[in-house]
Amino acid sequence: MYIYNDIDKQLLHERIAQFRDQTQRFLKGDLADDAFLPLRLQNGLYIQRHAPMLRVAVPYGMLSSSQLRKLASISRDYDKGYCHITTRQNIQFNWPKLETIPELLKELSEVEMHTIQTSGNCIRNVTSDALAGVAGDEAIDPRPYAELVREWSTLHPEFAFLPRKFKIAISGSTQDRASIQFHDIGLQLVLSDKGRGFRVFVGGGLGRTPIKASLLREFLPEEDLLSYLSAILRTYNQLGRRDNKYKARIKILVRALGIDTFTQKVEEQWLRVKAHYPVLDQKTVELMQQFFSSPSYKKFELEDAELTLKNLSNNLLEHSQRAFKNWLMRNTGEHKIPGYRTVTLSLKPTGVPAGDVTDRQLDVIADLADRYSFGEVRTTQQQNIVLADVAVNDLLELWLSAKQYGFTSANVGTLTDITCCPGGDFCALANAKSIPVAEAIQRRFDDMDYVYDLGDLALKISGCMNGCAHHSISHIGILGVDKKGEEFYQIMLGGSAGDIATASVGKVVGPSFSASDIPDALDTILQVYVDRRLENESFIHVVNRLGLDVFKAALYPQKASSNNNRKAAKLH
Amino acid sequence: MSDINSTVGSSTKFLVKHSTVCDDPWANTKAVKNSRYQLVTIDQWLASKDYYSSNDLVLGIHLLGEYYIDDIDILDHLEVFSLIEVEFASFTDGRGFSLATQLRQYGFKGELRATGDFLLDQLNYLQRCGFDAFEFDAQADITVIQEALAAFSHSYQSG
Ligand code: SF4
Repeated sequence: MYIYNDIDKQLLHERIAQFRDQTQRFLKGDLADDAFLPLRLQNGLYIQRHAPMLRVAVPYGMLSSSQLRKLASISRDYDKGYCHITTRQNIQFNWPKLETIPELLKELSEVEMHTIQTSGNCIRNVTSDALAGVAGDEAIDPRPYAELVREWSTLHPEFAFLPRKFKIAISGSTQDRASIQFHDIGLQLVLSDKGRGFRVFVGGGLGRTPIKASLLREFLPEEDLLSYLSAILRTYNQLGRRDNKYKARIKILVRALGIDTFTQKVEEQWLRVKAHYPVLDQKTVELMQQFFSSPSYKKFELEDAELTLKNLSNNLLEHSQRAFKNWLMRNTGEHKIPGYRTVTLSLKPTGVPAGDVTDRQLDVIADLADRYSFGEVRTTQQQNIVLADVAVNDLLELWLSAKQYGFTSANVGTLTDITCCPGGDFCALANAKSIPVAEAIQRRFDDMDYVYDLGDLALKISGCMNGCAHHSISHIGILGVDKKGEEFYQIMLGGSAGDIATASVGKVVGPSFSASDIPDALDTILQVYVDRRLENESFIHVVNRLGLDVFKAALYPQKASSNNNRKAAKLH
Repeated sequence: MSDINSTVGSSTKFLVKHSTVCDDPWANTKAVKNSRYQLVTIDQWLASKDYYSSNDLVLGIHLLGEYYIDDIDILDHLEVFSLIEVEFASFTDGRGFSLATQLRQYGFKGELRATGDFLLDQLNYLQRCGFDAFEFDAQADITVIQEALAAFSHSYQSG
């Protein structure tokens, strides 16, 4: 994991002093509301429905056990005993008091954490693959590059007042677990005959206009990364719209200019100013890679490891055996090192808002990380926690400990592993609540055999068009809408982000439903899937193969029949 | 084109250059007959390039932060100007930060001055984008300005 040097520490210290001064001036009335607003946003501070909300950056999702313990104590001392993991791998506190925030920031800095650029119209905290460094399908570990981009973008003087927020994601695998094509800039690390470099995507995004990114450059040599990013950002900063915040993201600019013109502008700018930027030479990259070197794994023979895995639960009672095996199947995953697995601690038992985690749980996670996974964890886009390096012979012990604290709901990647934004219960922008809808779905679909039979399924719920839960790239997406003051929910089908080639935005299936009708509607959709699937065919595959019509017909039978009647009438 | 008299030459403003208060030789140039110091708008410059390029003038040009550099025809003439003034229409409009950085990258060596609506809290960033002079309202406090300019001792972007 990256460790701060003196310059990192000094800068953080100075940023906290600056923010302390800004907060004091604001509280004294020396800094106007509208001036404080962008300044506090640049430091992760929103004023929410009930209280301020403070967002803490978790660079590319990595946390150490000491950071977890600090988050736990801050949750206890400054908040109501819990915090929240966001879909961008960050941490949110929902109830801190404004006056205490400078102190809170000081405590965070003791474990090399901060809130810099977690909101506002600037370059946000960079995100990456939660399985970076351990995934079997990884070509190049993206974390050293993510850290280099984090540094380059932090306190960047030129790009702090952009037309709108700006998000960068980096992945180094064939499976895209960072949704890079739905970011303002998506970087895919690749190895070519010209060496290491990036496929550069631009102009993807979610929110009210979900758009899959365009390819800006098939290959950018790694050494040119920072100059090229600067050229993209500068083009956006100067040409992006500032008159309408709904049209201010780079995706709108790329669409308005067309990708060819946009590319030409970026390339021209880049060639002109390239020489003014540092080159990412091999030495710089290698130095950074050392921070992310592999932990000291134990050596296992592949066969031994497999045997261990098979026999782990032999001594358990039958029903425990089954539960353990389900957990192994759903909540653990392959690792590039024989004898190791990745383990997902589920933060989504029924009845708990997705991503919420208590101070006690944070402490426990820290202990589990120390005992079983080299003292590190990762937060995921799906709002769970991953222990990335667990030896197979520790799995049973880990499961038994984690179970006591409610981390072993064996539903990872299934229907009930719902990603859900804070919605109307917390968020000032919401059109509708999202947490109770998630809970109603979890309660309805509590038959795990049925849930397992449905297989891999992504279900995400956002409380408004901003789409913080990423519902529009979910197999099933649910969106809260406001219909004459009442809360309704639109359903989208067919979104997906995991595969660079086939990633797509979901389509709205039809008129919206009331909250109480959502579980039934979902039931209908799943029934269509179960009836129509071929052997081993996944939900998303069925949706792509059959299109939406069969689902529409099942969901809106009256409409379908009246359409048929009309058609029949025309024929006569 | 904005009226540059509203931002230049008014006695309620003062200038800080290289972190110290100093006189503005371009101030009140309108009032002084045949002043060598001239501050022109882009339109004035374009209309009478030859006149303004003559040697005995110390020329400043007034730009708006929102200008896109490819659209304004000054890049080939940067050495003519002793002062480029960039006016910020609103402190949330970051275009002037890019404009300034580009002017420096394209070789402008003279005084680069920020005017208009910017915050104390932005001074350090503005300075790092290449501004070396700032115009303030009379009530601004020079110690506070100096502190704000020095808010950060290092930068990740300096290479
Ligand atoms: S999707 Fe809307 S309601 Fe949900 S957290 Fe984002 S802004 Fe708030």
